Amino acid sequence: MRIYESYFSPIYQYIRLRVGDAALAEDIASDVFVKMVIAFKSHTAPRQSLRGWLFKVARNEINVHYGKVKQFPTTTLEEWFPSSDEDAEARYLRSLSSERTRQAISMLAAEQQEVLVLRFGQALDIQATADIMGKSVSAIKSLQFRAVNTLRGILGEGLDHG
Amino acid sequence: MADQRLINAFNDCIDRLANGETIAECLRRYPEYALDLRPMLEAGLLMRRAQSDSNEVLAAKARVRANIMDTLALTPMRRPTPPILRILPLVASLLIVFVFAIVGGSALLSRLNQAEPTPTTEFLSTHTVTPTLTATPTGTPTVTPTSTTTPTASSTPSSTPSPSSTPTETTIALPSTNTPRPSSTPVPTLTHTALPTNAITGCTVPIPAGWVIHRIQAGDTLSSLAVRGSTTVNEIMRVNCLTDARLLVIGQQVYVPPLVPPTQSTGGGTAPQVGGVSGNDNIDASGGGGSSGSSGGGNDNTGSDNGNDNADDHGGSGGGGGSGDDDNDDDD
Repeated sequence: MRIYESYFSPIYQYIRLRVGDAALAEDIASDVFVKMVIAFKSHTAPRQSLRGWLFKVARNEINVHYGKVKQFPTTTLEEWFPSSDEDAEARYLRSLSSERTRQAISMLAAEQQEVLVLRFGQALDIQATADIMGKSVSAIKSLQFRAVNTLRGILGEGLDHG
Repeated sequence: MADQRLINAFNDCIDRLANGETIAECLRRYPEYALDLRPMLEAGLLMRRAQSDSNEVLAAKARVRANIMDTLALTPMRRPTPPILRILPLVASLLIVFVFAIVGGSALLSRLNQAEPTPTTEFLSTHTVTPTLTATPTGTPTVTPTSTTTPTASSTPSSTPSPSSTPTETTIALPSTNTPRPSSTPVPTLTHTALPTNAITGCTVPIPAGWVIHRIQAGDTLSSLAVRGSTTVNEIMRVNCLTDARLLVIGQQVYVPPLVPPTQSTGGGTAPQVGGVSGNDNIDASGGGGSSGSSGGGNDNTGSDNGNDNADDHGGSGGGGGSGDDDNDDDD
Protein backbone atom coordinates (compact mmCIF):
# COMPACT_ATOMS: atom_id res chain seq x y z
CA MET A 1 0.00 0.00 0.00
CA ARG A 2 2.97 2.26 0.37
CA ILE A 3 3.40 1.98 -3.35
CA TYR A 4 -0.17 3.00 -3.83
CA GLU A 5 0.34 6.04 -1.62
CA SER A 6 3.37 7.17 -3.54
CA TYR A 7 2.18 6.54 -7.03
CA PHE A 8 -1.49 7.26 -6.91
CA SER A 9 -1.18 11.01 -7.35
CA PRO A 10 1.03 11.09 -10.45
CA ILE A 11 -0.85 8.28 -12.11
CA TYR A 12 -4.20 9.80 -11.36
CA GLN A 13 -3.12 13.24 -12.52
CA TYR A 14 -1.82 11.75 -15.72
CA ILE A 15 -5.07 9.95 -16.39
CA ARG A 16 -7.16 12.86 -15.26
CA LEU A 17 -5.48 15.27 -17.65
CA ARG A 18 -5.92 12.90 -20.50
CA VAL A 19 -9.48 11.76 -20.04
CA GLY A 20 -10.95 15.00 -18.76
CA ASP A 21 -13.58 13.30 -16.62
CA ALA A 22 -12.90 12.74 -12.92
CA ALA A 23 -15.13 9.68 -12.51
CA LEU A 24 -13.66 8.01 -15.56
CA ALA A 25 -10.17 8.86 -14.35
CA GLU A 26 -10.92 7.09 -11.08
CA ASP A 27 -12.17 4.00 -12.87
CA ILE A 28 -9.09 3.82 -15.03
CA ALA A 29 -6.82 4.42 -12.03
CA SER A 30 -8.55 1.54 -10.26
CA ASP A 31 -7.86 -0.74 -13.18
CA VAL A 32 -4.22 0.28 -13.21
CA PHE A 33 -3.63 -0.48 -9.56
CA VAL A 34 -5.59 -3.71 -9.63
CA LYS A 35 -3.32 -4.81 -12.43
CA MET A 36 -0.38 -3.82 -10.31
CA VAL A 37 -1.53 -5.93 -7.37
CA ILE A 38 -2.14 -8.91 -9.63
CA ALA A 39 1.25 -8.44 -11.21
CA PHE A 40 2.86 -8.49 -7.79
CA LYS A 41 1.01 -11.63 -6.82
CA SER A 42 2.02 -13.41 -9.96
CA HIS A 43 5.57 -12.07 -9.76
CA THR A 44 5.34 -10.38 -13.12
CA ALA A 45 5.68 -6.85 -11.82
CA PRO A 46 8.89 -5.12 -12.81
CA ARG A 47 11.63 -4.96 -10.22
CA GLN A 48 12.87 -1.69 -11.59
CA SER A 49 11.09 1.35 -12.85
CA LEU A 50 7.73 0.57 -11.34
CA ARG A 51 6.77 4.16 -11.99
CA GLY A 52 7.35 3.82 -15.71
CA TRP A 53 5.50 0.53 -15.72
CA LEU A 54 2.49 2.13 -14.04
CA PHE A 55 2.44 4.94 -16.56
CA LYS A 56 2.57 2.42 -19.34
CA VAL A 57 -0.32 0.46 -17.90
CA ALA A 58 -2.28 3.67 -17.41
CA ARG A 59 -1.56 4.69 -20.96
CA ASN A 60 -2.74 1.34 -22.21
CA GLU A 61 -5.90 1.48 -20.12
CA ILE A 62 -6.71 4.91 -21.49
CA ASN A 63 -6.22 3.65 -25.00
CA VAL A 64 -8.33 0.61 -24.30
CA HIS A 65 -11.08 2.85 -22.99
CA TYR A 66 -11.00 5.11 -25.97
CA GLY A 67 -10.67 2.13 -28.22
CA LYS A 68 -14.06 1.08 -26.93
CA VAL A 69 -15.42 4.55 -27.45
CA LYS A 70 -13.80 4.57 -30.89
CA GLN A 71 -12.27 8.00 -30.60
CA PHE A 72 -11.01 10.54 -28.17
CA PRO A 73 -13.57 13.11 -27.19
CA THR A 74 -13.34 16.28 -29.16
CA THR A 75 -14.37 19.59 -27.84
CA THR A 76 -15.54 22.31 -30.11
CA LEU A 77 -13.72 25.57 -29.93
CA GLU A 78 -16.87 27.50 -29.22
CA GLU A 79 -17.31 25.72 -25.93
CA TRP A 80 -14.31 27.28 -24.36
CA PHE A 81 -13.51 30.50 -26.24
CA PRO A 82 -12.66 33.23 -23.82
CA SER A 83 -14.89 36.23 -24.11
CA SER A 84 -12.43 38.87 -23.05
CA ASP A 85 -9.72 40.13 -25.36
CA GLU A 86 -6.09 39.97 -24.21
CA ASP A 87 -3.21 41.73 -25.77
CA ALA A 88 -0.27 39.56 -24.87
CA GLU A 89 -0.30 35.85 -25.50
CA ALA A 90 1.60 35.05 -22.36
CA ARG A 91 -0.74 37.02 -20.13
CA TYR A 92 -3.64 35.44 -21.87
CA LEU A 93 -2.28 31.97 -21.34
CA ARG A 94 -1.67 32.67 -17.70
CA SER A 95 -5.23 33.79 -17.30
CA LEU A 96 -6.70 30.56 -18.61
CA SER A 97 -8.53 28.43 -16.10
CA SER A 98 -7.59 24.83 -15.54
CA GLU A 99 -10.83 23.76 -17.10
CA ARG A 100 -10.14 25.66 -20.26
CA THR A 101 -6.65 24.26 -20.46
CA ARG A 102 -7.95 20.73 -20.06
CA GLN A 103 -10.36 21.28 -22.85
CA ALA A 104 -7.53 22.49 -25.05
CA ILE A 105 -5.41 19.53 -24.09
CA SER A 106 -8.22 17.18 -24.98
CA MET A 107 -8.13 18.53 -28.50
CA LEU A 108 -4.55 17.44 -29.02
CA ALA A 109 -3.64 14.14 -30.58
CA ALA A 110 -3.19 11.43 -27.97
CA GLU A 111 0.60 11.37 -28.24
CA GLN A 112 0.83 15.11 -27.99
CA GLN A 113 -1.35 15.13 -24.90
CA GLU A 114 0.73 12.44 -23.41
CA VAL A 115 4.12 13.97 -23.96
CA LEU A 116 3.02 17.28 -22.48
CA VAL A 117 1.39 15.65 -19.47
CA LEU A 118 4.46 13.58 -18.78
CA ARG A 119 7.05 16.28 -19.42
CA PHE A 120 5.29 19.32 -17.94
CA GLY A 121 2.59 17.85 -15.76
CA GLN A 122 4.60 15.01 -14.20
CA ALA A 123 8.03 16.55 -14.77
CA LEU A 124 9.45 13.26 -15.98
CA ASP A 125 12.82 13.49 -17.67
CA ILE A 126 13.03 12.86 -21.36
CA GLN A 127 14.49 9.39 -21.07
CA ALA A 128 11.70 8.19 -18.79
CA THR A 129 9.14 9.73 -21.10
CA ALA A 130 10.74 8.01 -24.07
CA ASP A 131 10.67 4.68 -22.24
CA ILE A 132 7.04 4.98 -21.31
CA MET A 133 5.95 6.03 -24.76
CA GLY A 134 8.20 3.57 -26.53
CA LYS A 135 9.97 6.22 -28.56
CA SER A 136 13.49 7.50 -28.95
CA VAL A 137 14.69 10.55 -27.07
CA SER A 138 15.01 12.56 -30.25
CA ALA A 139 11.48 11.61 -31.28
CA ILE A 140 10.24 12.85 -27.92
CA LYS A 141 12.09 16.14 -28.39
CA SER A 142 10.37 16.73 -31.68
CA LEU A 143 7.04 15.52 -30.40
CA GLN A 144 7.00 17.80 -27.38
CA PHE A 145 8.02 20.73 -29.57
CA ARG A 146 5.18 20.13 -31.99
CA ALA A 147 2.72 19.41 -29.20
CA VAL A 148 3.29 22.64 -27.36
CA ASN A 149 3.02 24.63 -30.55
CA THR A 150 -0.19 22.86 -31.46
CA LEU A 151 -1.53 23.69 -28.03
CA ARG A 152 -0.51 27.28 -28.50
CA GLY A 153 -2.28 27.27 -31.81
CA ILE A 154 -5.49 26.06 -30.21
CA LEU A 155 -5.23 28.55 -27.40
CA GLY A 156 -4.08 31.30 -29.77
CA GLU A 157 -7.20 30.86 -31.84
CA GLY A 158 -9.06 31.91 -28.79
CA LEU A 159 -6.85 34.96 -28.59
CA ASP A 160 -7.34 35.78 -32.24
CA HIS A 161 -11.06 35.32 -32.07
CA GLY A 162 -11.41 37.30 -28.92
CA MET B 1 11.37 22.36 -40.16
CA ALA B 2 12.02 23.93 -36.84
CA ASP B 3 15.47 24.95 -35.81
CA GLN B 4 17.09 22.01 -34.10
CA ARG B 5 18.80 24.32 -31.64
CA LEU B 6 15.44 25.76 -30.68
CA ILE B 7 14.09 22.26 -30.16
CA ASN B 8 17.05 21.48 -27.93
CA ALA B 9 16.74 24.74 -26.04
CA PHE B 10 13.07 24.05 -25.45
CA ASN B 11 13.85 20.59 -24.17
CA ASP B 12 16.55 21.95 -21.90
CA CYS B 13 14.19 24.54 -20.45
CA ILE B 14 11.54 21.91 -19.73
CA ASP B 15 14.09 20.07 -17.63
CA ARG B 16 15.14 23.27 -15.89
CA LEU B 17 11.56 24.19 -15.09
CA ALA B 18 11.08 20.73 -13.65
CA ASN B 19 14.07 21.38 -11.42
CA GLY B 20 12.68 24.66 -10.11
CA GLU B 21 14.08 27.24 -12.48
CA THR B 22 11.73 29.97 -13.66
CA ILE B 23 10.90 30.75 -17.27
CA ALA B 24 12.79 34.03 -17.03
CA GLU B 25 15.92 32.31 -15.79
CA CYS B 26 15.89 29.87 -18.64
CA LEU B 27 15.22 32.55 -21.21
CA ARG B 28 18.38 34.33 -20.08
CA ARG B 29 20.30 31.23 -21.09
CA TYR B 30 18.89 31.38 -24.59
CA PRO B 31 18.43 35.07 -25.34
CA GLU B 32 18.41 34.42 -29.08
CA TYR B 33 15.33 32.20 -28.70
CA ALA B 34 13.62 34.06 -25.91
CA LEU B 35 10.78 35.33 -28.08
CA ASP B 36 9.97 31.84 -29.31
CA LEU B 37 10.55 30.04 -26.07
CA ARG B 38 8.46 32.20 -23.77
CA PRO B 39 4.98 31.37 -25.14
CA MET B 40 5.93 27.75 -25.57
CA LEU B 41 7.01 27.42 -21.98
CA GLU B 42 3.98 29.35 -20.77
CA ALA B 43 1.75 26.96 -22.66
CA GLY B 44 3.63 24.02 -21.28
CA LEU B 45 3.26 25.23 -17.75
CA LEU B 46 -0.47 25.31 -18.29
CA MET B 47 -0.28 21.56 -18.09
CA ARG B 48 1.02 21.78 -14.58
CA ARG B 49 -1.55 24.30 -13.52
CA ALA B 50 -4.28 22.30 -15.14
CA GLN B 51 -3.62 19.41 -12.81
CA SER B 52 -6.26 18.62 -10.28
CA ASP B 53 -5.91 20.13 -6.84
CA SER B 54 -4.86 18.02 -3.94
CA ASN B 55 -8.39 17.82 -2.49
CA GLU B 56 -9.66 16.15 -5.60
CA VAL B 57 -6.68 13.82 -5.66
CA LEU B 58 -7.10 12.83 -2.02
CA ALA B 59 -10.79 12.13 -2.45
CA ALA B 60 -10.08 10.15 -5.58
CA LYS B 61 -7.34 8.21 -3.80
CA ALA B 62 -9.76 7.05 -1.10
CA ARG B 63 -12.46 6.08 -3.54
CA VAL B 64 -10.09 4.27 -5.85
CA ARG B 65 -8.59 2.35 -2.95
CA ALA B 66 -12.04 1.12 -1.93
CA ASN B 67 -12.71 0.27 -5.52
CA ILE B 68 -9.51 -1.74 -5.76
CA MET B 69 -10.35 -3.67 -2.60
CA ASP B 70 -13.75 -4.54 -3.98
CA THR B 71 -12.29 -5.66 -7.25
CA LEU B 72 -9.61 -7.77 -5.64
CA ALA B 73 -12.15 -9.34 -3.33
CA LEU B 74 -14.06 -10.53 -6.36
CA THR B 75 -11.17 -11.61 -8.51
CA PRO B 76 -9.26 -14.00 -6.26
CA MET B 77 -11.44 -16.84 -7.49
CA ARG B 78 -9.26 -17.21 -10.53
CA ARG B 79 -6.05 -16.81 -8.59
CA PRO B 80 -6.00 -19.78 -6.26
CA THR B 81 -5.92 -22.43 -8.95
CA PRO B 82 -2.50 -21.80 -10.40
CA PRO B 83 -0.50 -22.38 -7.23
CA ILE B 84 -2.30 -25.64 -6.61
CA LEU B 85 -1.77 -26.70 -10.17
CA ARG B 86 1.84 -25.84 -9.82
CA ILE B 87 2.26 -27.93 -6.69
CA LEU B 88 0.18 -30.87 -7.85
CA PRO B 89 2.79 -32.62 -9.96
CA LEU B 90 5.30 -32.26 -7.18
CA VAL B 91 2.92 -33.75 -4.64
CA ALA B 92 2.02 -36.54 -7.00
CA SER B 93 5.62 -37.44 -7.69
CA LEU B 94 6.44 -37.31 -4.00
CA LEU B 95 3.54 -39.62 -3.34
CA ILE B 96 4.74 -42.06 -5.94
CA VAL B 97 8.24 -42.01 -4.53
CA PHE B 98 6.85 -42.47 -1.06
CA VAL B 99 4.73 -45.42 -2.07
CA PHE B 100 7.66 -47.02 -3.77
CA ALA B 101 9.87 -46.45 -0.81
CA ILE B 102 7.38 -48.18 1.44
CA VAL B 103 6.77 -51.01 -0.93
CA GLY B 104 10.42 -51.39 -1.71
CA GLY B 105 11.24 -51.37 1.97
CA SER B 106 8.68 -54.00 2.77
CA ALA B 107 9.93 -56.10 -0.08
CA LEU B 108 13.42 -55.82 1.30
CA LEU B 109 12.28 -56.76 4.75
CA SER B 110 10.37 -59.72 3.55
CA ARG B 111 13.39 -60.87 1.67
CA LEU B 112 15.60 -60.57 4.63
CA ASN B 113 13.19 -62.54 6.70
CA GLN B 114 12.66 -65.24 4.18
CA ALA B 115 15.23 -67.10 2.26
CA GLU B 116 13.19 -66.89 -0.89
CA PRO B 117 11.71 -63.89 -2.61
CA THR B 118 8.10 -65.03 -2.48
CA PRO B 119 5.08 -63.09 -3.57
CA THR B 120 5.84 -59.72 -2.07
CA THR B 121 7.71 -58.52 -5.08
CA GLU B 122 5.17 -59.59 -7.57
CA PHE B 123 3.33 -56.34 -7.62
CA LEU B 124 6.32 -54.87 -9.33
CA SER B 125 6.36 -57.06 -12.30
CA THR B 126 5.29 -60.32 -13.72
CA HIS B 127 8.80 -61.59 -14.12
CA THR B 128 9.51 -61.83 -10.49
CA VAL B 129 7.94 -65.20 -10.05
CA THR B 130 11.27 -66.97 -10.12
CA PRO B 131 11.82 -68.20 -6.61
CA THR B 132 13.36 -71.25 -8.15
CA LEU B 133 16.63 -69.45 -8.35
CA THR B 134 17.79 -70.78 -5.08
CA ALA B 135 18.00 -74.26 -6.44
CA THR B 136 20.81 -73.72 -8.87
CA PRO B 137 23.53 -72.15 -6.82
CA THR B 138 25.84 -74.24 -4.85
CA GLY B 139 23.49 -74.42 -1.97
CA THR B 140 24.80 -71.65 0.18
CA PRO B 141 21.61 -69.71 0.52
CA THR B 142 21.48 -68.65 4.09
CA VAL B 143 25.03 -67.57 4.53
CA THR B 144 25.08 -64.22 2.95
CA PRO B 145 22.44 -61.85 4.20
CA THR B 146 24.73 -59.99 6.54
CA SER B 147 26.96 -58.78 3.82
CA THR B 148 24.24 -57.81 1.47
CA THR B 149 23.03 -54.76 3.23
CA THR B 150 26.17 -52.73 2.99
CA PRO B 151 26.93 -52.15 -0.66
CA THR B 152 24.95 -49.93 -2.89
CA ALA B 153 25.95 -51.86 -5.89
CA SER B 154 23.04 -53.40 -7.64
CA SER B 155 25.00 -54.96 -10.37
CA THR B 156 23.25 -57.99 -11.62
CA PRO B 157 25.63 -59.95 -13.75
CA SER B 158 27.21 -61.70 -10.82
CA SER B 159 24.44 -64.19 -10.59
CA THR B 160 24.44 -64.92 -14.26
CA PRO B 161 25.52 -68.49 -13.99
CA SER B 162 22.65 -70.56 -15.24
CA PRO B 163 18.94 -69.92 -14.70
CA SER B 164 19.35 -67.64 -11.76
CA SER B 165 19.83 -64.70 -14.07
CA THR B 166 16.19 -64.01 -14.68
CA PRO B 167 15.17 -63.26 -11.15
CA THR B 168 17.85 -60.73 -10.55
CA GLU B 169 16.86 -58.32 -13.26
CA THR B 170 13.25 -58.14 -12.46
CA THR B 171 13.07 -58.24 -8.76
CA ILE B 172 15.18 -55.17 -8.42
CA ALA B 173 13.24 -52.79 -6.33
CA LEU B 174 16.01 -50.47 -5.38
CA PRO B 175 18.00 -51.91 -2.52
CA SER B 176 16.03 -55.09 -2.31
CA THR B 177 17.76 -56.39 -5.37
CA ASN B 178 20.91 -57.28 -3.60
CA THR B 179 19.39 -59.73 -1.26
CA PRO B 180 18.41 -62.58 -3.48
CA ARG B 181 21.52 -62.72 -5.51
CA PRO B 182 24.14 -63.24 -2.90
CA SER B 183 22.41 -66.38 -1.90
CA SER B 184 23.92 -68.02 -4.89
CA THR B 185 27.43 -66.85 -4.12
CA PRO B 186 28.40 -66.11 -0.60
CA VAL B 187 31.55 -64.18 -1.23
CA PRO B 188 30.82 -61.62 -3.84
CA THR B 189 29.16 -58.74 -2.12
CA LEU B 190 32.06 -57.95 0.06
CA THR B 191 34.11 -57.01 -2.90
CA HIS B 192 31.99 -54.01 -3.58
CA THR B 193 32.97 -52.32 -0.39
CA ALA B 194 36.66 -52.44 -1.02
CA LEU B 195 36.95 -50.60 -4.26
CA PRO B 196 35.97 -46.97 -4.11
CA THR B 197 39.09 -44.99 -3.25
CA ASN B 198 41.27 -46.24 -0.49
CA ALA B 199 39.07 -47.24 2.38
CA ILE B 200 41.97 -48.79 4.21
CA THR B 201 44.28 -45.87 4.63
CA GLY B 202 41.91 -43.02 3.99
CA CYS B 203 44.16 -42.07 1.13
CA THR B 204 42.20 -40.17 -1.48
CA VAL B 205 44.33 -41.01 -4.48
CA PRO B 206 42.10 -42.81 -6.99
CA ILE B 207 42.94 -46.44 -7.29
CA PRO B 208 43.90 -47.50 -10.83
CA ALA B 209 41.58 -49.90 -12.52
CA GLY B 210 42.38 -53.49 -11.80
CA TRP B 211 44.39 -52.85 -8.68
CA VAL B 212 43.63 -55.09 -5.77
CA ILE B 213 44.24 -55.26 -2.07
CA HIS B 214 47.28 -57.18 -1.01
CA ARG B 215 48.12 -58.08 2.54
CA ILE B 216 51.78 -57.64 3.26
CA GLN B 217 53.48 -60.85 4.20
CA ALA B 218 56.88 -61.67 5.54
CA GLY B 219 59.37 -61.15 2.78
CA ASP B 220 57.26 -58.67 0.85
CA THR B 221 58.91 -55.45 -0.14
CA LEU B 222 57.60 -52.67 -2.23
CA SER B 223 60.15 -53.42 -4.87
CA SER B 224 59.21 -57.09 -4.99
CA LEU B 225 55.56 -56.17 -5.23
CA ALA B 226 56.38 -53.68 -7.95
CA VAL B 227 58.19 -56.33 -9.93
CA ARG B 228 55.37 -58.84 -9.47
CA GLY B 229 52.81 -56.25 -10.42
CA SER B 230 54.79 -54.83 -13.32
CA THR B 231 54.73 -51.38 -11.84
CA THR B 232 57.08 -49.14 -9.90
CA VAL B 233 57.66 -48.65 -6.23
CA ASN B 234 56.79 -45.00 -6.59
CA GLU B 235 53.48 -45.81 -8.17
CA ILE B 236 52.52 -48.15 -5.36
CA MET B 237 53.58 -45.55 -2.83
CA ARG B 238 51.64 -42.87 -4.62
CA VAL B 239 48.41 -44.85 -4.86
CA ASN B 240 48.60 -45.88 -1.22
CA CYS B 241 49.83 -42.54 0.02
CA LEU B 242 52.89 -44.19 1.44
CA THR B 243 55.65 -41.87 2.50
CA ASP B 244 58.29 -44.34 3.49
CA ALA B 245 58.93 -47.64 1.77
CA ARG B 246 60.46 -49.07 4.93
CA LEU B 247 57.36 -48.63 7.01
CA LEU B 248 55.59 -51.67 5.62
CA VAL B 249 54.19 -53.91 8.33
CA ILE B 250 53.26 -57.52 7.99
CA GLY B 251 49.51 -57.78 7.68
CA GLN B 252 49.22 -54.27 6.29
CA GLN B 253 46.93 -53.98 3.31
CA VAL B 254 48.01 -52.10 0.25
CA TYR B 255 46.67 -51.68 -3.24
CA VAL B 256 48.76 -53.26 -5.93
CA PRO B 257 48.32 -54.30 -9.54
CA PRO B 258 47.40 -57.94 -10.13
CA LEU B 259 50.45 -59.79 -8.89
CA VAL B 260 52.34 -62.58 -10.51
CA PRO B 261 52.69 -65.31 -7.90
CA PRO B 262 55.96 -65.00 -6.10
CA THR B 263 58.39 -67.66 -6.93
CA GLN B 264 59.04 -68.70 -3.39
CA SER B 265 55.69 -68.56 -1.59
CA THR B 266 53.14 -69.83 -4.19
CA GLY B 267 49.46 -70.40 -3.61
CA GLY B 268 49.89 -72.31 -0.40
CA GLY B 269 51.12 -69.27 1.37
CA THR B 270 48.43 -66.95 0.27
CA ALA B 271 45.46 -69.19 0.68
CA PRO B 272 45.23 -69.17 4.46
CA GLN B 273 45.28 -65.44 4.59
CA VAL B 274 42.63 -65.31 2.01
CA GLY B 275 40.42 -67.28 4.26
CA GLY B 276 41.01 -64.84 7.06
CA VAL B 277 40.22 -61.69 5.19
CA SER B 278 37.45 -62.22 2.79
CA GLY B 279 37.90 -58.91 1.07
CA ASN B 280 41.43 -59.76 0.25
CA ASP B 281 40.40 -63.05 -1.05
CA ASN B 282 37.98 -61.72 -3.57
CA ILE B 283 40.16 -59.08 -4.93
CA ASP B 284 43.04 -61.38 -5.38
CA ALA B 285 40.76 -63.71 -7.20
CA SER B 286 39.53 -61.05 -9.51
CA GLY B 287 42.99 -59.82 -10.21
CA GLY B 288 44.82 -62.87 -11.31
CA GLY B 289 42.93 -65.77 -9.93
CA GLY B 290 46.12 -67.65 -9.39
CA SER B 291 46.77 -67.04 -5.74
CA SER B 292 43.34 -67.95 -4.50
CA GLY B 293 43.26 -71.25 -6.14
CA SER B 294 42.79 -72.98 -2.85
CA SER B 295 39.19 -72.01 -2.57
CA GLY B 296 38.18 -74.29 -5.36
CA GLY B 297 37.02 -74.15 -8.91
CA GLY B 298 33.48 -73.06 -8.19
CA ASN B 299 34.67 -70.24 -6.10
CA ASP B 300 37.03 -69.15 -8.74
CA ASN B 301 34.23 -68.60 -11.11
CA THR B 302 32.17 -66.57 -8.80
CA GLY B 303 35.17 -64.62 -7.77
CA SER B 304 36.02 -63.59 -11.24
CA ASP B 305 32.43 -62.70 -11.90
CA ASN B 306 32.46 -60.39 -9.03
CA GLY B 307 35.60 -58.88 -10.24
CA ASN B 308 33.77 -57.95 -13.37
CA ASP B 309 31.00 -56.56 -11.32
CA ASN B 310 33.24 -54.23 -9.56
CA ALA B 311 34.84 -53.08 -12.70
CA ASP B 312 31.45 -52.21 -14.03
CA ASP B 313 30.57 -50.21 -11.01
CA HIS B 314 33.68 -48.19 -11.20
CA GLY B 315 33.42 -47.57 -14.84
CA GLY B 316 30.08 -45.99 -14.19
CA SER B 317 28.34 -48.26 -16.65
CA GLY B 318 26.53 -50.09 -13.89
CA GLY B 319 24.92 -52.29 -16.47
CA GLY B 320 23.17 -54.61 -14.09
CA GLY B 321 21.76 -52.06 -11.71
CA GLY B 322 20.74 -49.70 -14.41
CA SER B 323 18.88 -52.20 -16.42
CA GLY B 324 17.17 -53.49 -13.34
CA ASP B 325 15.81 -50.07 -12.51
CA ASP B 326 14.64 -49.60 -16.00
CA ASP B 327 12.69 -52.75 -15.80
CA ASN B 328 10.91 -51.55 -12.77
CA ASP B 329 10.00 -48.30 -14.35
CA ASP B 330 8.61 -50.01 -17.34
CA ASP B 331 6.51 -52.23 -15.22
CA ASP B 332 5.02 -49.26 -13.52
